Amino acid sequence: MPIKQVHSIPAHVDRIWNLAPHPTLPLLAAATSDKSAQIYSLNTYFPVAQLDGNHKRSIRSVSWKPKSGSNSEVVLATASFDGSVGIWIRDSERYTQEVGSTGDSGSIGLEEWEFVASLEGHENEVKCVDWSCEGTHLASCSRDKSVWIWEADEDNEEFECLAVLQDHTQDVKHVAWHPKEGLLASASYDDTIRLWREDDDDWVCSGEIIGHRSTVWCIDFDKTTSEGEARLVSCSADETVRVWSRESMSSNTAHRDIPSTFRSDPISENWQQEAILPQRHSGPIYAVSWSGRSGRIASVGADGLLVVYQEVKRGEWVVIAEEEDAHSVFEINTAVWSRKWKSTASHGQEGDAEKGEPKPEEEEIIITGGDDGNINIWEVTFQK
Amino acid sequence: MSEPINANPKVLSLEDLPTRSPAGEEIFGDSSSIKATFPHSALDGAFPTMSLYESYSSLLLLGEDGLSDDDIEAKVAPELSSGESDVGDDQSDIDELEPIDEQEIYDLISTISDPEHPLTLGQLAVVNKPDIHIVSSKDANGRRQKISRVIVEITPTITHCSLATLIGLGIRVRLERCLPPRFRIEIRVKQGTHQSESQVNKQLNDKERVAAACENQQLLGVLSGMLATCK
Repeated sequence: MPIKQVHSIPAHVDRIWNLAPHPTLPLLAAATSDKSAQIYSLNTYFPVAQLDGNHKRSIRSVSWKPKSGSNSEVVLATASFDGSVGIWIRDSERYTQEVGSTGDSGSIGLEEWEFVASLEGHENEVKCVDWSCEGTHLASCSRDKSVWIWEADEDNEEFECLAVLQDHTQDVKHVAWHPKEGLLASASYDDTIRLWREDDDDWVCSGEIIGHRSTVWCIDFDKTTSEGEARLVSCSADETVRVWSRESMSSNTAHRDIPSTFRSDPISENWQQEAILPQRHSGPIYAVSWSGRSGRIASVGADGLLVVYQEVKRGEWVVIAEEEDAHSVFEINTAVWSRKWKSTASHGQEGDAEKGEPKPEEEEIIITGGDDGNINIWEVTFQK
Repeated sequence: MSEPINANPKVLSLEDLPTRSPAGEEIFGDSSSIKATFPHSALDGAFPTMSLYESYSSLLLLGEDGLSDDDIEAKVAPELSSGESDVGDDQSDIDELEPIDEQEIYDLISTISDPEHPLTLGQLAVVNKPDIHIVSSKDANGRRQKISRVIVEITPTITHCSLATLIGLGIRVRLERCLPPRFRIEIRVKQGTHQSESQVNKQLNDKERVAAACENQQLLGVLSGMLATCK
């Protein structure tokens, strides 16, 4: 199954560290080595804002706050090597219409953004930041070996630190929230993944996944699992991508309202390795993404290879697409699935002609970022 | 002032270091040519009031064992990679066919100064030409792949050398600045030459730590001192 590059955005920086599409809006955020975050329209692929001037070192990670209920603001969190997490809000007064729809939006700075908060506390480089599914919590992690959980107020200006989790023995590379539960996963240079959840006002380590033989660089949850289920995918410097699943929680959930002191083993979770995905990469694998639409997984790494996997039956995965030198000879740091906002010419016409409901896998793109400073947009195409 | 970590390193004489002779024949330095050891007293005057070890450890937070995971952070700071290595277009794919060999790598890194002695890594035999490897692989169709690996194994002068990570970082930064981006650089300490071998190796090849270290101005200062002797 071929994979096709549909667009490439030169970000004019030395390195793209991380990319995040907004969960509901056609916006893409990029964390770059030039101490700024850039915002692009996914309708036009034009830049719409540059968030700079506040971080003193590279921005390593970006995360959008999901919109929920009355909360209508567009909020981005940035994690920097300067040891802080920045919170940015789009100015709704000055923002009038969907950028790009006018067709002349070629320049940076169409949107006004405000830097509203700096979350201090980590001792050194913050490596990743992630908002929980409802936007109530923010997790950050650092070379200082800790994971912090923050709670945001309505205005996104006051953040309270709820927990500092220090069970990892080495720097923590990545954090990711479960798509439905208040469950957090963290990946570390200590080769392990840990799971965390709230128990009686305390955040505790509820599980540990041991199996990778080197640094775990990135993790992502399966977004299609049913209630009570959890699976996650991880990638590592050991050149493997692995899928892990949680053993049934039914026995635990039944006792959820009993105070923890009366439960024998209140909160622990058992995670099992479900699969090692077909091995294609040579060198560290830096990013992995699990599509909420098609259920596919994409991985990228130092070898410049982009690989797409599909599950043929539970726990059995095949490679359906592979692209060598996806960023020329450069390393690739990030890959993420996104809804396809802009239809490609040929594809769009076909869709119009047939008038059929597009399949979920035809409505998604993969966005990658690398050491060439480019953002590449990919589609997995279909032979008819 | 603290003692140098290794006060009496073995030193190779310059003319015994491997070079590319006019005829293209390679000459290797061998251990029998070690001519002198540096008396401790000879080094005392050669250094500023604060030893490099002190400044290095203060900025990198060395652990009690002299070498914690905190030792090294680093990266290819944007400012660092703006030289020749920035070329990423198709032209560079053609240029790449001009081979880069082990001698060229050796010439790039053997002239780096040791952070502690007024000598180069070549003279101290920390960097040795037989320990430099260039690995190019071919794909299923026999085409040479664009990306090649450069593996440099370093030999610390003593097995508990806490400067091994700094030396390794200096070599990595030098190569990242000079080599085209198609090269993947791996720096390791040679097997059996360091007590914390696996830790040092893991740090030196962690992209994120290297990137962060290279944004540390103090550390960059130390590195540029080490690289100042490179031609």
